Amino acid sequence: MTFTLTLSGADLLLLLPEMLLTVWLCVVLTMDFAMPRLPKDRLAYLSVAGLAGVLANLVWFDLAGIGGTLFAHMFVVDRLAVFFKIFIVGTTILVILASVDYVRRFRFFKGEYYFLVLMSALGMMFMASANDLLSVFITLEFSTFGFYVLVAYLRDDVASNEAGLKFFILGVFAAGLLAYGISLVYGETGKLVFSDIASPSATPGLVIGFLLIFAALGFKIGAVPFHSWIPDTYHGAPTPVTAFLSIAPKGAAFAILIRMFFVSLAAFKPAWVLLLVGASILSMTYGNIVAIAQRNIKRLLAYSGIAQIGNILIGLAAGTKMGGDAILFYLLTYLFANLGAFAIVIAVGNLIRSDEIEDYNGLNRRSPFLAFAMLVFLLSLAGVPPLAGFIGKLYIFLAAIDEGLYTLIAVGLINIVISMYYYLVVVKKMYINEPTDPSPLTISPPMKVVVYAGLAGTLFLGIYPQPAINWVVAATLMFSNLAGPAAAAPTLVLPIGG
Amino acid sequence: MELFFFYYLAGVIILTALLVVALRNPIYSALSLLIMFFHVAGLYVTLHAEFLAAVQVIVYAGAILVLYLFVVMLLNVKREDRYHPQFPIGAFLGLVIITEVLLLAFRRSESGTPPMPPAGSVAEAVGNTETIGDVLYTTYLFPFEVASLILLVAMIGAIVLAKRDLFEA
Repeated sequence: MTFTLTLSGADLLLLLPEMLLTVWLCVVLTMDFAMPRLPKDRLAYLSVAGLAGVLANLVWFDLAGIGGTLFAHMFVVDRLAVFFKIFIVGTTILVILASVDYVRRFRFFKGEYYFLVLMSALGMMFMASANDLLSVFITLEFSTFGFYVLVAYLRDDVASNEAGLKFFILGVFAAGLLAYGISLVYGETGKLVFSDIASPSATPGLVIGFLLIFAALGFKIGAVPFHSWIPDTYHGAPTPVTAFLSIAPKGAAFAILIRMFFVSLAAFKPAWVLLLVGASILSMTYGNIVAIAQRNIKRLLAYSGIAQIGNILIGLAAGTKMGGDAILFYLLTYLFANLGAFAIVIAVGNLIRSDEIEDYNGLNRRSPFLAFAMLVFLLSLAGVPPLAGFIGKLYIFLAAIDEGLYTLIAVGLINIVISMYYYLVVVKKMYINEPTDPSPLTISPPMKVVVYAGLAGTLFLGIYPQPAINWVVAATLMFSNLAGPAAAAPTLVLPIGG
Repeated sequence: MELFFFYYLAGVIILTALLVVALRNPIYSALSLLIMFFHVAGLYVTLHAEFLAAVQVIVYAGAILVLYLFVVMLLNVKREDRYHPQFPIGAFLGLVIITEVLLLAFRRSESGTPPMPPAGSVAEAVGNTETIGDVLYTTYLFPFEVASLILLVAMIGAIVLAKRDLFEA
């Protein structure tokens, strides 16, 4: 028996976005040390130019419907993968633009920062295409490696070092759980590809294996009870890295979660619905309640991020095509609102060197534009119409109503009310409280681009969501055979111990 | 002949493994661990797993043990405060593992022969090193290439995080 590999030109075309980005990040790295006198800002714009090329390539894939699988189904390009890759590349572009001012504060390794951001983006693009457990493991580790370094980037700063260490130790532990889970699943089925491991019976090894894999992915998205790294890591990391970490890896991990739950585990839906409902309720409630007590805006956004992940898990718990659509749409609204909010935090932090909520007092007097943008982003995160977050929450709740998950919806609605409180506290400080230092704040052009992009996205998705809805509906077409009403799902037999 | 090698290798493994925990000097412990690794590699060779044997020598004996020695020498571990406080934990874990081994031994005798790979499989035909090489560059080319990118990011990351003489510049 011999092993052969056939890769035609058409096959390599499927890898084109990743190959473009690989070449480009080598160009960025080489320019960084080959031209030491080149201002590092140029590297940021160079990176953005490369990413724009990759984005154009991906949009072409999406419009032309180019797809297929490579390497014995390990690497898949379908519309779902292309959606998540566009999501990741878009996030990366905005994060790099939002980093330009911040990176000037670094004393060393300004150029390597952009290289590592691009590397993580590349890893997450691979994650979006991962179609078997082996590539899940290796691509997930790849993307996380860049983040380990980025989180600890401020070497003089104790909080950043602590954040990096915490993230690293817990991340390695999660990687161990993932590898152990994968080995159990492989031992039980002898297969790795998602569609092949759809086993007819739930043996104890499979159940434990999938639970371990879910724990590792839950760590990645920061769902309760796997969230313990989030607050300190988000707090200590450089703010643009926090923004990046709070959005892009969540999207990439949801690509894997959707494939795992909707493809491999479709037959066991009644069992995992309970698991996801539990994780969702815990994440929403814990995130929102603890967020109330926060005094630091980065920690507040960290806990609000945990709660938002809980909302997205509602869509996964629905387990239908519509649930998948809702996850994708919600991630888009979350991208614009959360990145926008972090952009304001970065801008304000660059100017006043503080992330405390107290220092947002009277922001409206100092910079009406920043205060207004923050208002829009926070209200969108809270889910106020006519902003994007409202449509996102509506979509995800509608998907859950179709499945009869009324408890989950009730908890979700209560949580919206709780979240409204702490978002509005920040708004009150910005608009009503008096500033201690009334000097006006000015922001730089790249930061303005990010804030405008966030505003445009948040308003556009809220007022005219139809194009985006059409896009996400098309991206999940492959799941249209999923069981709709819960009654039609096969009855669950759990032969544990039998 | 095969049996003779098995008993020789197994005997040395048990002896050196005991020495690892019994010797007072951490350097001696590490060196007996090294001898143990070599004999485990020998055991793999008798099982026709040459690739695993080579990996055992290169990774465990070559890389990991050198790391151990570095840590032992850098931290200058004291002789007396080594394993005594952890003795109850060690005994408990040992007990668990012995129970597991006994359980496995009894289950095997119940359920007959353990599952074996089909006769005349690839590995026997061309040797498993060659087979692994083939698979790595064909079926698993994708993870292999991604691993090379991981090495690149780890290299840059290590420099960024650990380069020392920056603060004098």
